[in-house]
Amino acid sequence: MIEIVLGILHWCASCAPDANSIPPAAGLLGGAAGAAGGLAGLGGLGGGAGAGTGLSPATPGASGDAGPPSSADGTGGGPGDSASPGGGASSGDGQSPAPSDGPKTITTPDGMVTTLDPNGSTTVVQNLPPADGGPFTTGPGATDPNDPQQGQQPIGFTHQILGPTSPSDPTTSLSDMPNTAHLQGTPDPAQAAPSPPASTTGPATPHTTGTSSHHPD
Amino acid sequence: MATTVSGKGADIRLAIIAGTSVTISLGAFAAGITGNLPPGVSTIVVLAGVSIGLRVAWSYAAASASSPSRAGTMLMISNAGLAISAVALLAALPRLTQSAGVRTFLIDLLAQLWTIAVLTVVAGPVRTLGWRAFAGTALTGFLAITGLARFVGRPLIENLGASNLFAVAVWVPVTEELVKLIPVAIVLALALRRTDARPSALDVMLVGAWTGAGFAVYENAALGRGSFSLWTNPALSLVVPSTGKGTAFGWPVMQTGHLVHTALIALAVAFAVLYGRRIRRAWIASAVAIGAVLLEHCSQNAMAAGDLNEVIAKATLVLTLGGWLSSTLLVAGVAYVMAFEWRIVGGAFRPADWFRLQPAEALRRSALLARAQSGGTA
Repeated sequence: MIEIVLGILHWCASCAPDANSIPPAAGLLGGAAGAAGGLAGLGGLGGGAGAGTGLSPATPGASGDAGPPSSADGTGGGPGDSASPGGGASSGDGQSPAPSDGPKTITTPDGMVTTLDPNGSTTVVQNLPPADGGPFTTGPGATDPNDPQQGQQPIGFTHQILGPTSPSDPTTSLSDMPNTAHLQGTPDPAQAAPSPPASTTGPATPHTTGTSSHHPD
Repeated sequence: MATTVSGKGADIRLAIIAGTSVTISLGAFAAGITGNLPPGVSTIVVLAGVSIGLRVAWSYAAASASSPSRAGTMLMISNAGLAISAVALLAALPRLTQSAGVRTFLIDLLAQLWTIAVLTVVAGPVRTLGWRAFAGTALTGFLAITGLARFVGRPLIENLGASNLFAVAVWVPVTEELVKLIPVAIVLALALRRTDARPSALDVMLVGAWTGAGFAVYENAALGRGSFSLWTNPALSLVVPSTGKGTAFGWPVMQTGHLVHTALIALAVAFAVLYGRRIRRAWIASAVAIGAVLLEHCSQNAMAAGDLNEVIAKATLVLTLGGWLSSTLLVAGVAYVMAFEWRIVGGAFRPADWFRLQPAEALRRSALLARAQSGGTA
């Protein structure tokens, strides 16, 4: 056989003697830890976990490059897992809807917002206030660190104070402007402070299936 | 508020499940080491435990889509997981390298990393995954995939012998190639659940390459071999310096090994899975790649076992181009897919993005790739 076959290696991990090998259980434990570590690096595939691992210019001290940041605008959708808040428009089978034709806004945990045009070009990158401990703690600009939509610009809100009207005249209170709060009667400084809108037309919130709705807590 | 509370509740549930599964796995491992459980039973319990733990990690990764606190936790889990795995690797080295020494191990490691570096540079313009994914994959290939392969292959080798043709040339190659595809399957499964962000086929090829590299380094260390040469085989050694060169029945045989085998299957399967909508006959590439790798792996193991008929051996050498088939298909496949995906991402030579992937660029690429893979315009 020596004259017939020379220097041919066989690819067989099972042929290694036990004395030179790691017990399978030990290998599985160590390898599983590595696999868990690698899952975070899958970026957008895993639902965006890699977004927090990257080299964003706004993330001092981060090391290594990263997977794609996640979509936080509700259009991307998580894998449809029951624990996933990422998919405002996810269907129950875990499939996200087809990409829309409009610009897409993606927010990373460090507050960097990237707007992707339909042609694939990245057109806007800006830094919003930090997700945690930002300047907006109350009012319409408030951000909740646990809110899957956090990091986006607050939904537009205008505050309009109408002049004195007669309470018996219903026509004076009519206005169908969206995202607009209306007060009637004499302006009251106490009431003139901004208050949360009763309804919004923003992106879908988690646990909805694509319809635009708002559920005040 | 309700969402926040339910999110914390889900996190707590996931943490409890993960903690329980890890505890049971560690307990089973300890019981196996101390002899309180048969090694096979211990391994099965550990396998079940780590599978549940990884499923939890998957769920948590999905849930961290848009939550900074969860993304931060996932980063911490990633650091801890990679660190634990790296420590496990270092702890295993004295045992693994006792037959050929650390020097041979390092030479082989360098040879595998050389090929990985070449593939990474080539895939640079369309890459979307970061280093954590590949580091985790390599450690998984080195520790877990080899453990699983030995778990299913070792009993047959022990019972039938290392020269048994079925055990060495059929059972072991088929099971090894299957288990090496587990990380590839996980990445593809995650990718298919998204339509807004997808990896490139070359990303998946790199996942396969890292898995194969980890597997090969372990196997070569355990069997006491390893080499690095840029000149042994003309042209081929420049890309795969670990390539072996032998003779069978007077005919030369090139041997590229696990890295090339797994990278080739991963590339072909990824191309078929990701672009199946766009190119209806992409599955043919998978069939050809799997057939080529199995033919090469099985026939070379059979020759090494010394039990293969001369006519059959020479026939397989002709079919596998003397061992060049897998590497030739890999080079051709990478070149084709590179050109294909380069057009999708609107390729341009930008050295900064080529070598150092920035999140915004990864996002741009993955969105364009997702659109192309979903059947949209490139």
